[in-house]
Amino acid sequence: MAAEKSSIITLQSNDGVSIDVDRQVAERSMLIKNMMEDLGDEAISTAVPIPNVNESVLKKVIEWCEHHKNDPQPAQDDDSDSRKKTTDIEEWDQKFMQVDQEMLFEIILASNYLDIKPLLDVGCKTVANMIKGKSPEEIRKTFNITNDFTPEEEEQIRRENEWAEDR
Amino acid sequence: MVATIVILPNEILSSILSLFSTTALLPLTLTSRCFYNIIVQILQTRLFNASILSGHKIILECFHPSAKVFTPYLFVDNLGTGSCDHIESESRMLSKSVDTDRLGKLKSFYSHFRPLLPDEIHMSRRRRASSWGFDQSNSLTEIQSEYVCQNVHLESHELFSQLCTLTNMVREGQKPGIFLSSVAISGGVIRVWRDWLAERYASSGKFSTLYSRHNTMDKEEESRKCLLWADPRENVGIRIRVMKREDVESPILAGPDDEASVSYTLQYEELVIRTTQLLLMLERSNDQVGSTARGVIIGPWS
Repeated sequence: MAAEKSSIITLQSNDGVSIDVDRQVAERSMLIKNMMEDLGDEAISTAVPIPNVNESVLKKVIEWCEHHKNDPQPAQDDDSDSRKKTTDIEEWDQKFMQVDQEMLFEIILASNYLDIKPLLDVGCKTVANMIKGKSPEEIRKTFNITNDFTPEEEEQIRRENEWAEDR
Repeated sequence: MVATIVILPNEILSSILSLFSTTALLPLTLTSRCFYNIIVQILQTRLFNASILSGHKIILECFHPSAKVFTPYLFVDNLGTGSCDHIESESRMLSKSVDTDRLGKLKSFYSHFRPLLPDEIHMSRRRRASSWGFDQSNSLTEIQSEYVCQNVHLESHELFSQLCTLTNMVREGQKPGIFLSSVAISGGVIRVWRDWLAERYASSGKFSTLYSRHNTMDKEEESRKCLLWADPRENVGIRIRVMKREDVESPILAGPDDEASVSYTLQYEELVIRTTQLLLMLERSNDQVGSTARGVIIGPWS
C-alpha cells in the first residue's frame, strides 16, 4: 500500500509534454483516480493523456495538487449553502491564483475537466471576488464582455431588478 | 489572444454567480444577456426553495389596536403544493422565454400560507383576559373553525376598522417560543371598510369554499376581492372571509347608507406573501443566524 502510494505516474498534456507526478498527487483529480482504479497497475507504466489541458496549465494544476496532497478528500455531497456562499480563500491559494485572466480561466476549465472540486471552488471564488463590488459596466470592462442589451431592454431590467424597494 | 469570462461554460459561470446573495446578484443582471439568463435561473431556484422556508417559520400578528396586548401571534402553515406547483409551472413557462421581462415575472410570484389556530398557552392567556371583562368585539374569537377568526365591530359613525398586521420570519431555538433570529417581512395596517364587509358578507353565501382548485372566473374575481393588502407594495396580504357574528343579536346587515353599528367575524383563510420578499428576508435571517453562531464560537477565546 505504502509503495503504491509513492509510485509515479506520467501525465501527457495536449501539447505532447510528459510530466511525472506522484500518484497520490495526481489522484487529487477524481478523473485520474477513477481511471487508475479502473485500469489498475498497467496504467502506471503508460502515459495518461490529458487532452484538454496544455503543459503550462497542467503544471500549475499539479503544483496545486502537490500543495494540497494531504488535504482530506472532500465529502461527496458537501454542497451546503453556507459553505458555498462564503468567498474566503486561504492565503496560499490566493497567491496561487494571482495569475493572468487567461490562466485563471484555463485552471478553472482544467479543474472542471479533471474533476478537482476544491480547486474548481477556489477558482470560482477567485472570479467571484473579481466581480464583487463592481458595477455591471466595470465587470464588462474587467472581463471584456460586450453589452448585448438594447437601451430599452436595459431600461426594463433596471426597473425590474429592484426587489427590495421597501427600505 | 483575448481571455474572457465567456469561455467558461454556463454551469461554471452559474456556480460563480451562486456565491452571491440575491441582493448582490440583482444588479449584475445588467451585465449581459448571458449573465441575465444565468441569474434568472439561479433566482428561480432560490424562489422555489424560499417558499419551502427551510428551518424557518413565519409568524403573523394581526390585531385591532385595542386588542394588541391580548392577541397572540400566529404561526402559519405552508399551503405547500399550491405555491410550489405554481412556481414550478411558471418556471417551465419562463425557461422557454428569452425576453428581458423575466425578473418582473419572478417578482409577481406569491407564496401562500394558512394562519394556524393559536396553541393552548395563548388560549388560556386570552381566556384570562376575557374573564377580566375584556371586550371581545374586536379580538380573536374562539369559534369552532379550522381557520383563525377575528371579530370586528364598527360603530355607527365608523367607516372602517383597522388591523395592525405584522409578519416576521423566525428561526426557532430548542425551546418553543425562543427565536434564534427574527426578521420583519412586513408591517402595516389593513383597513377593513364597512362597504367591503357588507359586500363580502353578501357574496360569501354564493361562494362557500373560496379556496378550491377549480376556480371559475367569478370565484377568482371574488377571491381577489377577499384579499386585503397590509402594505402599499402588496408584499403581504390576508385573504379574508366575512361571516356573521354569531353571538351578537343586533341586526348586522346594513347598507352603506345606514348608520347602524355592525359586527362581523373575519376568517383568515390565507396569508399571502410575495415570494421575492420571502427570499430576501430568508437570506437576511440566515445572515443573522450566521453572525450569532460566530459570536458563540469566538466567545470562549476572548
